[in-house]
Formats: sequence, structure tokens, C-alpha cells
Amino acid sequence: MMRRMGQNGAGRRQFLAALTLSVAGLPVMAGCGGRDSKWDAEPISASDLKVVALSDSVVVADPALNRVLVLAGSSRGELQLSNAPIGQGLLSLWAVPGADRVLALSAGVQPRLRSSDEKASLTVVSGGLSAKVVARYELEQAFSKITVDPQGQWVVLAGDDKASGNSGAVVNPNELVLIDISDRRFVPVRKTLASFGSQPLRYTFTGELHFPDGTSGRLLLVETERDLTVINLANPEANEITVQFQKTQGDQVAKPAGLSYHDSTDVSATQIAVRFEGQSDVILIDMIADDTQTHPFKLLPQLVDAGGIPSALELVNTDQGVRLAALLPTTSRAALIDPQTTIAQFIDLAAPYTQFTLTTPEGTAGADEALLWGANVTNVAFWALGQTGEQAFRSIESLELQTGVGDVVEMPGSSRRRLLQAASGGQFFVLDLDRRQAFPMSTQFGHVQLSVSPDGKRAWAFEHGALDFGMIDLETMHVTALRVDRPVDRVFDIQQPGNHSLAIALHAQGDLAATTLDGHNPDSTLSRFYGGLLLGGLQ
Amino acid sequence: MIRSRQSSRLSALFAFAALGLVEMFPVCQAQAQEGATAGPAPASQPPSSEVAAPAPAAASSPEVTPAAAPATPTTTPTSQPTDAKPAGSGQQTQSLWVLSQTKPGPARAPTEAPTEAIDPEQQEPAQIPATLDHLGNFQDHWLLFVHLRGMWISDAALDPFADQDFIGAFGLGGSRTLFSDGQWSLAVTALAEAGSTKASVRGSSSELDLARLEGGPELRMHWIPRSYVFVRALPGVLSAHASLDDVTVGGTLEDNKVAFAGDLGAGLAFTFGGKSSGEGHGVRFWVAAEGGYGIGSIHDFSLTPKNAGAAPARFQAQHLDAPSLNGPLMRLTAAVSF
Repeated sequence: MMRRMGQNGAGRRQFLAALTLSVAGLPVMAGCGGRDSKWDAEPISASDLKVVALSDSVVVADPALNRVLVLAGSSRGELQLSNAPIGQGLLSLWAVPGADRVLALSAGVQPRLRSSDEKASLTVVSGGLSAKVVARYELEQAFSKITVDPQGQWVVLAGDDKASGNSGAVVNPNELVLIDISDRRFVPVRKTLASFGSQPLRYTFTGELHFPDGTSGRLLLVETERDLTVINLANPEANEITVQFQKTQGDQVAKPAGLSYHDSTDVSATQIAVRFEGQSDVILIDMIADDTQTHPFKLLPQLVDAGGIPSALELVNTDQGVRLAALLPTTSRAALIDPQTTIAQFIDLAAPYTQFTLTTPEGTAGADEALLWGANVTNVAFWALGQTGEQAFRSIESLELQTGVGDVVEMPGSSRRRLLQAASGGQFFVLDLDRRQAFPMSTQFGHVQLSVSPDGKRAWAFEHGALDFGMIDLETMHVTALRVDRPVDRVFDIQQPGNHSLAIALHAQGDLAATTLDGHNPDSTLSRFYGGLLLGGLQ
Repeated sequence: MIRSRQSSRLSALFAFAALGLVEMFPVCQAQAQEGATAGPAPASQPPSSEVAAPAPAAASSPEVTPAAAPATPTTTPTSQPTDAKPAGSGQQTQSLWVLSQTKPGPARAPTEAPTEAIDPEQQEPAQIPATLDHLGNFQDHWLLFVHLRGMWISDAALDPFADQDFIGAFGLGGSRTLFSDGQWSLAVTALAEAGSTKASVRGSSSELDLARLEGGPELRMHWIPRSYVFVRALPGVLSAHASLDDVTVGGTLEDNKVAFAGDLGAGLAFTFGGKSSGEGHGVRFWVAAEGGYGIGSIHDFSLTPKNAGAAPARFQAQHLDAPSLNGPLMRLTAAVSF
């Protein structure tokens, strides 16, 4: 046949040659296929690191690929990595308290010009060894502010996203979106707060409160510049109740500076207290029965003089009943105000404490305990509110620290320890609330950062960019000095299967790396280094 | 080699036989003699600078007239064939005719023709162009080649190492004809290839170096003397070296893997220039294009620091899926045969 082909002329020869060359060249043409753009995504820089810790995993945002990486410990002590998708344009990442879930608030594609452009969203991702999307709620617009319910059920979104340039031409600052993240099919509730020219400042989710009509429920308290708005979470679409604040001198309305609420089975005692910037007056709001039965309660405000400008305020249980405790640093006093009679009892303090932290043991039904502290006060005070009757002055015991306290790190569970971070420098203290002792911990760090294990038995002290860090056994106060090979950005202590714990030191360089250690018995000589975490799950 | 010698002998025999044909056809002899003494050619004759070679059929036909003879016999020897023509065409007859012009005279016995008709100085132009039945060194030869290989890998696991689904390589190799029969021949081919592809993975440089060593049979079929199509199967081994720069580690992570590999391909080879005759062991230059399918079976890369001393202690190997190196391939080859 070939002979015949050769004899039949050049046309066939050319055809055969062209055919062969075409077959040979086919792969060249086919080889022009490109790769997925995910391989060209920007790595994470240390300054943009968004990471939260759950009890059993550490969740790191990978915004360039619209996903979160979940680092967890296997039963063999190895680092396991999984990932889950989140919305485009990550704005913030939050842990859901007590739920081992994270919330990823995303702006979507902005500006959104095509119907195919992704909308803003809130994604709920479960942690653990295998991350997955639990729920995803699409939003009509991007919000910048997210407030997460301490009980892990609700989320309120508000505020336009000016920071990332996602703000619309016209924004309604009083619009908010409520989402019940325990219900994956929940349709976000969008509502605009009744406004008298103000805009929201803070959102506070209350615990379960008993209402005058015998029912109970939870509330969302919204402090605006001029009023307090109360939303009943049992029926979030119902009209909210608004309490307007009174005008002060010069027709100015004082801005609220914080609030406290208190629940009681005694319906007359369920109250809300609000303090104001630069004002000695506080507002006590009683919940009383609503005759119209439109709501399970109505609000009755009353103005109370605290005897000075309060820097902190809390409704507490004392041996005399519920009192409004207010710190008055200008006079180095504390006030205990009876909400029923508005009579104040003043206690002289050893120092002008500005902060008030309840330290009541978990499950205690009696009087509260509180820790008084301040950045400009070189000691802390233990305030036993069960001794406020005849000898209130004896109820406060101070403890010298030689330095101001910048922050009090809360502990999980029923731990009776607290970490007090010095207002400046690298020092911190382990405070034993039962023995009222403070154990100073000196570090070589300029600005120490602290993290706590999920069981509250260990604390980790580190500094961004340092190679050294330490683990503090909060029961024995034994410190284990540790060193890793690469600078540390964050340190976490997570649970792993088999009642073990795993310490993870994150290195936010390059493709993200981590050094892991045994959480209970960390040993630098037994650490493991895992590199290229950002490449995980890409194949 | 044995086969090659046989082919040479066959070629010589073929030449002798062809010359014998000249003696067997007196018409050609008569044409030559008449042409040598004839006057100007008829108007229908071709120009003297062109060889008016009678068609084979005419050479063997008693109806052929002297008008088919060339006008100027003395110019004939300079009018050598300029291109190879298929066997059995006028080319072969032309050569015979040239010989008859060079040595005019009475017809000789066929047994005398070889010794008296071939002038050593004119032996070269008298060589017989190769035919599909007698390919000579077009077919039986050593072949050394260099080539460029391109391979299309659609496996997503290649993405960390390549921006495109394409891996190029440079190679060299050789082949030897083992057996030939007519236009068919069987050769054995061995080649070595090396190629690499580079990319970046989220800002970190990555590279995949591949080296192959393959060998196997190659079946060829000449469809003209200067060209053949071939198919070949080349099993072999593949060495893959993957590397990835890691800022955190402060160095390069790497891994080496060796695995089975193989290619199955078909293509076309063509030689240009050179003598049209397949006699002897002359050097020829070839180009070839091949398409086919290659396989390679690497499973996983466990990347570890190249410089373990500078790497973090107890570095846990970073695992990357190794690409399945299966896919269409092409080769463009330049070769020399001898």
C-alpha cells in the first residue's frame, strides 16, 4: 500500500507527512492548559494572621483562597490539617463560645455588579479533625461589626464595612441583622432600630431572664448614643422597646459607657443598669409588667446618683440582696446602691481601682466576689460582697503587685486562677483567688501574650517573633521553658483524643508552619515541626 | 551487520542485473548508436540539456523510434539525474542509457558488460538510487539522535510544579537496525531524556526535574526511500526530583523518586540531502516527528530539608501528591545515520 501511495504522487506524501506532524504536535497544543490559580494565591503575612482557638483545634483563616485551615491533634500526637470553604472577602473570624465552631464573616464580591457575584455571608465551620461547613447565611450587604452571643446561639451583625471600602453610598447605621446560628436554616432577621437621631455603640446579649409575666427569655441590649434599645430574642421581628436617655447640661445627651443586667426569680429584681461617660448619674431600669401585653415586660427607668463618676458598674448579689456596685476612682471609693431605695453605701478603697471583674465561683448561689484592679493601681483587691452588711470596709482585701494591671485573663471552667497581665512590660501574675495570692512571673518579653488551655490548668506565655516561650502549670506554678526553631506568632493549647493535649506554636512565615509539643509535658527536644501548612488541602 | 552486508551484496547484484538488462534490450543499444551519429534532433525532441530518457516501457518496446534519442550525445554525461525517482521509472533506465552512450559500440555479450561498461571515474553517478525494494543505508544503519520531548500532563498534581500542563525535555539516544525485509525493518532504540519544570507555590519556588532512561524495539516502514514511519515501545525507568523552597524552613525541601516509565509512540522520519543511492555507509541527516503516549508511576513526594542541619529539628516531611506522569507526548528529533 505504501508503495502505491508513493507511486501515486506527492499529494499523498504531503498528506501523510502533515498528518504525522499534526499528531506529533497535538500535545503541544493540548499542553497549553494552565493550572488552578490557587497555587498563585498570596501566602499569609504575620500582620494579617486571623486565627482563633477552639477547645480541640486551631482555626487559621486563609483569605486568599476563601477557606479556613483547621489544625487538630490526632490520637498519635500528630498534627492533622483539614480545611473548609468560607465566603469571599473575609472580614473577621470569631470563635463560637462553647460550641467548637468558628464564624467567618465575609463581604462577598464588592462592588457587586453581576448576579453571579458572591453575596456577603456568614459561614459557620465546625472544628476538630475534620472541618466542615455547618451553616452558611447569605446577607444582603456586608457588615463590619459582629457580636457573638456568649452562649453561642445568636449573632448580631451591624455597621457598614467602611474599613475595607465595602461601604455603600448610603448606609443605615441602625440596621442590624440577627442570626440564630444554632439553626442552619434560620433566615436572618433584618431590622432597623427605632432611632432618635443616634446610632448603636454596643450590643450585649443577656443570659436567660425572668420576665414579669412569668415567662423567660433572652434579650439583646443595644446601647446607642442616646438611648437603650431592647430586643426580645424570643421574637426578634417584634418591635423593640426603646428607653431614651435624659438630656444633661447644654442639651447634650450623655453617651452610655457600659451596662450591666441582673436576673432574679424575684420578678421585681430583674434590672438593667447603664452608666454614662463623665456622668455620676446612672440609670436603673426595672422590668415591670406590660399592661397592654404587647411585650412580656415594659421598662421603667429611674435616675440614680452614684456619688461620683463610675468607671465600672455591676449589678451584684450581696448578703443584703441585689446591689448596684460602682467603682468611683475619683474618690477611691466603691458604692453599693440599693436598686429599690436608691440609697448608696460607700466603701473606702485602698486605691482608685477602675475595673471590676466578677470572680464568683461557678455554681455559687450566694453573694458574689469581685476583683478590683486598674492600670494605674499597683495592687488588686478582693471584694467579698457577702460581707457588706455591718462591716463593708472589712470585705475588701488588697494585694500588692508593684505594677498596674492591664488585663485580667478569664479562665475556662471552674478554675480559681486568673492571669493578670501587667499594664506595661513583660510581667504577669498568676492569681490564686482562693488563697488570695499572686505569683509573679517575669519574662524577657517586651509585651507578653498569654493563652490558656481548655481545661484551665496550663497557661502559655510568649511574645510575637520570639523563639522562646514558656508553659506555666497553674496548679503547681512550675514553669517549663521552651524554645523552638522558628519565631513564634501565636501559641495555643488544644485537646486531642485520649485526654491528651497538644501545644501548637504557629509560625506565620512563608507557607505557614507550626511546631507542636505535648501540652502536658512539653519538651523542646521532642517537638515536631510542620511546614507548608498553607499548601494543605490544595491537591 | 550481516544483514547489511547482505543488502550490499544484493545491491551489487541488482546493479549487475540492471546492466545485464541493457544488453538484453538491443533497441536501447541501437538508439545509443544512432544517437551518436545522428544529426540535429527533430523539433519534437527535448532540449539537449535535458535528458530525454525513454520511458521504461519504451526501452523495452520494439516500437520505440530513434527520435527518442538525445540530440547531442556528448552532452549527455553531464546531464546526471538530479533527484531520486521511484524505482521502475525512467530514472533507472536513464542510467542504463547513459552507460550505453558512454561506451558506444557493438553489442557485447551480457557477461562482458559489467567489466567493460563501468568506468571507475563514473562509478559514482552510476550508483543506483535506492528503491523500496533496495533501501540500503536508508534502512540499515546506526542512528544517533538528539531530540526535544514534550509531554502533556493533565494531572492536577503537576500544578505545584508547573504553570502549564506541559513538561519539556531534552534527550539523546541511538538506534540500530537489526533486521530488514523490503520496506520493513526492525531496530532497537535507546534514549535518555532530562527535563524540568518550574513554578511557584504561593510565593515559594518549586521545581520538578525528570530524567528517563528507556529502550525498546522500533518497527519501521519506508514509504519512500527517504522517509519511513515507525512505531516503538520504550519501557524504562523514570527519576523524579521535586524541590520546594520554604521560607519558614529557610531552605529547600526535596525528594527523589524512581519509578517505572514507558513510552509508546509513532512517527515519521525523513532524511534530506545526501546521495539518492543507498549504497555504502554514507552519513545521512534525518529529522523525525513522533507522537505517542507516555506513562510514569510516582505516587507521593515526601519533601524533607535539603540541608538538614539548617532546618528545624524533627521536621515532619511535607507530603505532596506526585503527578501521574501519564499523557500524550511528542518528540522532535534530529539524527545522523551511518
